[in-house]
Amino acid sequence: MSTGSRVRSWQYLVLALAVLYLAVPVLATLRFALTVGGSFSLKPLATLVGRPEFASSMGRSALLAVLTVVVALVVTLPTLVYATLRLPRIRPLLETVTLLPFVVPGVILSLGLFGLYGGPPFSLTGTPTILVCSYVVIAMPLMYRSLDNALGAIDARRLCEAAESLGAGFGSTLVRVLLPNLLPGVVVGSLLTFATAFGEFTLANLLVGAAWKTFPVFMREIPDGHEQSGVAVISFALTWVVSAAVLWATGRGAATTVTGATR
Amino acid sequence: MTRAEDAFHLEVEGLGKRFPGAAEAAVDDVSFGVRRGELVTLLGPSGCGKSTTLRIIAGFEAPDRGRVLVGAEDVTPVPANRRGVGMVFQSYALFPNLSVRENVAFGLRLRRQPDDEIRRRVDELLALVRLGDLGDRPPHQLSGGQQQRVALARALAIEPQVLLLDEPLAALDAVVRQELRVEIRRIQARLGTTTVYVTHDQEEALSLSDRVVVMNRGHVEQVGSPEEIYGAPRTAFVAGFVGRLNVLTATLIDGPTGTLKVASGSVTLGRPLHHAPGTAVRLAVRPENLAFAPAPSSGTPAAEAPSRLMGVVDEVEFLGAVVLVHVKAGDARLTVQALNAPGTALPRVGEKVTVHVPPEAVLVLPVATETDAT
Repeated sequence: MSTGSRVRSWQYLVLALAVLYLAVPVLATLRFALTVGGSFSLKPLATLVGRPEFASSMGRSALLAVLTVVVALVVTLPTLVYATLRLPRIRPLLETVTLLPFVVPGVILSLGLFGLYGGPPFSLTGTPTILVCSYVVIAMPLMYRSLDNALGAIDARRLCEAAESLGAGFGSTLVRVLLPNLLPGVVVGSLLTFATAFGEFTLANLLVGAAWKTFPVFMREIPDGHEQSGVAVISFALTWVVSAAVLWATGRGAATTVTGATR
Repeated sequence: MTRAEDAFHLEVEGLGKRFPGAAEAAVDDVSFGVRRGELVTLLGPSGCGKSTTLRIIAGFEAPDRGRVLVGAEDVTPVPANRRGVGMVFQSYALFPNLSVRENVAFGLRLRRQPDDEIRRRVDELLALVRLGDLGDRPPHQLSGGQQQRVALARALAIEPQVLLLDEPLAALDAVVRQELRVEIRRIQARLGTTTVYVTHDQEEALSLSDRVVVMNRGHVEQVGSPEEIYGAPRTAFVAGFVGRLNVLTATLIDGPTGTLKVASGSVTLGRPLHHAPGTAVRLAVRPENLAFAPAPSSGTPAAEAPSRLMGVVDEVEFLGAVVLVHVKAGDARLTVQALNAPGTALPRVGEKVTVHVPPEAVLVLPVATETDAT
């Protein structure tokens, strides 16, 4: 066996192990969800989907996740670009600050937020607004790292100066030059943020709870284990569908940019 | 303001810039002018302030003092995107997400030009840089030289008042560099764009420029035509930086005739030197101005064989069309450039030779700038 094919065999083996590691729990959960009394049944799923709060809670979580992605992008991207290009000396501070949400546990964070926003002048608890704001914070490390990696992969400073010398202001440069070239980072950051916001339970339960029930909160209230597993599988599937859709759309966008430019 | 200064299309006046934490100013009292349609090169070693000067002209850096005038207008407070100054970078800085055509069209789209006009202008510019058939490609599919042509076309598309090129050939290999150098000069001359070109390559500066601004340690050493810079350097730094140079320490024997004792002989300049006899001065002479001469007959006093230095060949450096012969003459080491013509016998290492120093080719370096010599 040649060295090349031996290396390839190892690569396939590692890949297969990784797929097994990730897929087996989901498949086991799916099997449990679709098994009643030792035989295959769609009844748990049908009951689950038939519950009145299934669609509404899923819609709320999806809305929260989308809003979180939008706000996180709007806050993080210009800040990171501006710090990189104009204020490089504040970058170490920015990096430390964006790592803090990893250090603070969700329960502690929710207690702090409850104390601060539980009464006047900022009575935000019980509203989805506090969830969007806090999700932006807890997903900040994921969004920041993804965008920062993408920014490091291009010579952002020179590209911006080139655009500026051709007449572009900061906004034009951001939209026409940086954003298209940072698209891989934007996509990865958005997906990670979406998944975090969609599946977050602690803050949703403690800060809002039944007042505006999200999918994970709804999921916890289901008494039947088979249905709970069904919810978990649906949650996974939804995340995959959204990921695939975003990747497809951005891939198509990139292709359109190239072919559009070739007219 | 004089009439000559009136004619400058771009002027920088007393520019100064010190970066936070830096011990020395990056740019210190830099002033020069560029006439309309002229190509002026900022030449100097790394860290001499030439790129900082260019970036100040472009508007990417704000000067601590001084000002930049384009036409008669002081553009110092004007942001880079409103200066109408085109810039070409060493690293090309093409937009990776756009095709060659769209890169060139970028500035025109920002100016909301009609589509037909953009198409016409892009076609014209791509033809000018000889890339008419590669317009649909993404930049990464082009060679370095081709990418730099696109960058040039993109900068020219907006019809800049001033074109700035920051070491545009530094990342290219020698052959492409030479081709593109000719190309840049051809295009610049054809369009008549006022241009400032930054390089550390003296050959590039001398071959391209209408005038050269030699910079060192943040200040201007000399401004002049390539011929002036090469043939009549005003400071020891310019003499040493532009072209090869032999620097010889000499002692003045006779001021009125300019006779000096040099290493293993003497040189009579035939022009007066206004120093006291015995003063140590430094002479500079280019290797191509030195020549091998027949040895003076034995017993001839040095005074009767003026401008001839005796020495021994130390090293022979073969460069193809020319050969550099390094000669040890007393304490001095001279480099003589000889043409590698067929039938010419070149000296060998260890051979005793006599080097003729033509008095008219000898530059007397200012004593005050001794420490600047390199």
